[in-house]
Amino acid sequence: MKGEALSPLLRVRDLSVALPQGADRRFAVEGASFDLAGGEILCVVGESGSGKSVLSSTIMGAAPAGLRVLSGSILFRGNDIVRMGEAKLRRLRGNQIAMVFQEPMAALNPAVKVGEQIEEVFTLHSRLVPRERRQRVRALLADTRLADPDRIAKSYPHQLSGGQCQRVVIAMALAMQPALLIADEPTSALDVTTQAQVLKLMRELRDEHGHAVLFITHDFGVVAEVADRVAVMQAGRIVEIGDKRAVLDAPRHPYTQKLIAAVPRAEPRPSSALRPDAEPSLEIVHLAKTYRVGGQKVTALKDASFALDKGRTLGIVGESGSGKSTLARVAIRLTAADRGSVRVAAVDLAKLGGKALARARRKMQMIFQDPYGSLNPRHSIGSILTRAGKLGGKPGSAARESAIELLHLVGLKPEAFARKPHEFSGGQRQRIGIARALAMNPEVVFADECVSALDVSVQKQVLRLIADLQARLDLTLVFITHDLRVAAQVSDFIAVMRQGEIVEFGAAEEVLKRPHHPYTRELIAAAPGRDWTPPALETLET
Amino acid sequence: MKTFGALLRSPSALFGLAVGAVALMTALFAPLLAPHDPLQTITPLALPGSVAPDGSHLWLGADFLGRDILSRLIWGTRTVLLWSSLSTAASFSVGVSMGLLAGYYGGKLDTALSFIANTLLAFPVTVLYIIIITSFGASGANIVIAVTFASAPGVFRIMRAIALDMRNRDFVAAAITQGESALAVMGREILPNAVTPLLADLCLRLGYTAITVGVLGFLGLGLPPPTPDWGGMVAEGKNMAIAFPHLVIFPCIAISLLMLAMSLLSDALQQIAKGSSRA
Repeated sequence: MKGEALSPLLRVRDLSVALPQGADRRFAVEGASFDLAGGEILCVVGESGSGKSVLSSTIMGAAPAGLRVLSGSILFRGNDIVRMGEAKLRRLRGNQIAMVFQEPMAALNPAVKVGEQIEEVFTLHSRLVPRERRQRVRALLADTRLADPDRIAKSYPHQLSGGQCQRVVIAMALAMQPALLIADEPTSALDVTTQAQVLKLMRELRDEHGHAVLFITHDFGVVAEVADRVAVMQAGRIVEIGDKRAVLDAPRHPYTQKLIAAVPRAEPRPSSALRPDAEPSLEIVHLAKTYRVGGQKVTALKDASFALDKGRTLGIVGESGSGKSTLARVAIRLTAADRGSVRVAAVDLAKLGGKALARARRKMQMIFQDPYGSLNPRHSIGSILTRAGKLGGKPGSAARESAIELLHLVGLKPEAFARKPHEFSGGQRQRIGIARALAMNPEVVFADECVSALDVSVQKQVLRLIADLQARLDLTLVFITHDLRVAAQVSDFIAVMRQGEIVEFGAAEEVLKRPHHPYTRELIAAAPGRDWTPPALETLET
Repeated sequence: MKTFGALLRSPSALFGLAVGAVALMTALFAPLLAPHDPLQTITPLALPGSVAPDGSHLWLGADFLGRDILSRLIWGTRTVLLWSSLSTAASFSVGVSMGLLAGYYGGKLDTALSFIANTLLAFPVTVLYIIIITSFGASGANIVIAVTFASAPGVFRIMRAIALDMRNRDFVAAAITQGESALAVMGREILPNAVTPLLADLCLRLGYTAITVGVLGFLGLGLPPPTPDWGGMVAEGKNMAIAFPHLVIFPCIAISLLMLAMSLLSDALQQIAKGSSRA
């Protein structure tokens, strides 16, 4: 801003941070150099393990335990943070450099009212008297567009929503009017509509206060939404840095091209022609579920009904708590329904019990969200898949053979057979989860947020695998996701859920292009980076 | 087997394993190892190192009836190991199966079983022993029953907590959707994940049960005399312990050593369990 154009606010030069010996690579950050001007938003984007979080905490002067700055400098207003003493760093942090974390709930002390927590910043860094402090707290909360700041200030974190908490954290970070705000995935834990509001707020606050923002994210949609400039990190190196438009629309580095090519298009896939002879493979009729939490009734699922033809994909979208996972768990009878029925290939599951139920429910299989929690750490992959085959009715040797075939089918090597789950990456585990579901020869597969824990390039591979298998095995797929882009890419039909209710159901193209329900419109408007269409990068589409 | 390899790398676990192995060997080969018949009267109250009339040594001395203390300790290893492992095995069978059922099914079954377990835990253990053994008489089987009542609730709580955690994991859900029976889910999916913490508890409990067998012997509630039994030896020697400390010191050392070994082993297992849950 004011005449700082000559020397930027932050100048990082040749920064290398060493990993402890025995790690899979030598440097967490290797030879990073970039400038950040006052009032600029720089997004650092990369997949998990790319070193983006280490970079941001090193700039805060707090490299994670076990890591050591090997070389380079971090000049903040001309002072080198790498060589700064702890006392001087403490004065800098929270004062001139402030941080916003991913988990707002975890960043706030659960036992202290949020107003008092913000006040503490002033107690530490200013000489304001209590009355002035409280006025400033109120002003900050109002600044972050929190309605009724007085009530918020008197609330404990657990009385606030995730979005409100993140606004409080932002207010706290901005308390001393820092020149640099470091935000590490500040919206990844939030719902998409809340995320849209927080991203908008962060840009507006930057416009008002003129601080620079170093914004760490894995999501190119978010980048498109907030960034001025973008730095792409891969395995500790900044491989590409430049203007948002330049990087997003004409990426030069092959890795950036690969990442952007992997971002799902918001464009719904063309609806394949309906087969007139098709009969519904999954019918859900008036399904309802109410939980009792501490004497209170919570309606998790309200009268859900739909039918899905064989070989088709239904995308169920909604925010957290909308009942989409409950729908899947009730349909598959992991949780008993209060009312309603589920018919798979015209067999009503509710009427079955015992052995018949066990046999019938194999027709419906599930791919789970968390690739770490869905495989028993005590069993080898071979034993998991062979067991599934045996339960599916195959004798021992045939089950073993089919397990090896399944590994091949999901793109894993036969050597995987003897290994335990912890030896695999998230994407590989998800492939194993898919293989396990397929071992049952299912008719219908429920996939519950099965790619949301994965990096975008891995996500693309897994989505492609699922689409491949679906076509080959004529599977009926119910795909639950919070990500509209993913839903658009895989679905023939889309159901939008809110507060336990399906508020809109229709052909994917219809729902995404001509939404009827106001909530659907809100969701579509909130999807980050919806004004940005990832460029078609033909050369890398293989 | 990874657990076993890790045990061999820890000095304290190695010590525990070694003492355990020596105790086991002593128990198995007691007839070969004991220099005298444990019931034979030689020289009453002979001091350690004295020579018997037949020219053999009484290395640890003899008790008030003139029985060789070393031989009685060696034979006593059998008593302690046999009854403490039987009692521990019984406690684990009851505790693990009830804990699995309570944790997996939850609801009323869990409430009922937990209530029983907590009631038993609230009872002073020694009083519980005295009540059970005085009402049913002193015998090996009754020791097993008494220890099971006192110990199974603790095992139950460990197993229940793990089952409660595991039943909400996705791999359990996956097994259910594949039509796996409830018994198979508990046995194949949940139980293997409880092995290391249960093993740690097993070692500790073996040590405590060895003490319990001693305590019961001391209180006259153990095996009927003249069976060689470490606790019984302490009880018989206690009145003369000031004048003849060797009557009680050696059995006490034996009990403590076994207890220490089992605690160290249990400690090492817990460390391993922690390490593997972090990885």
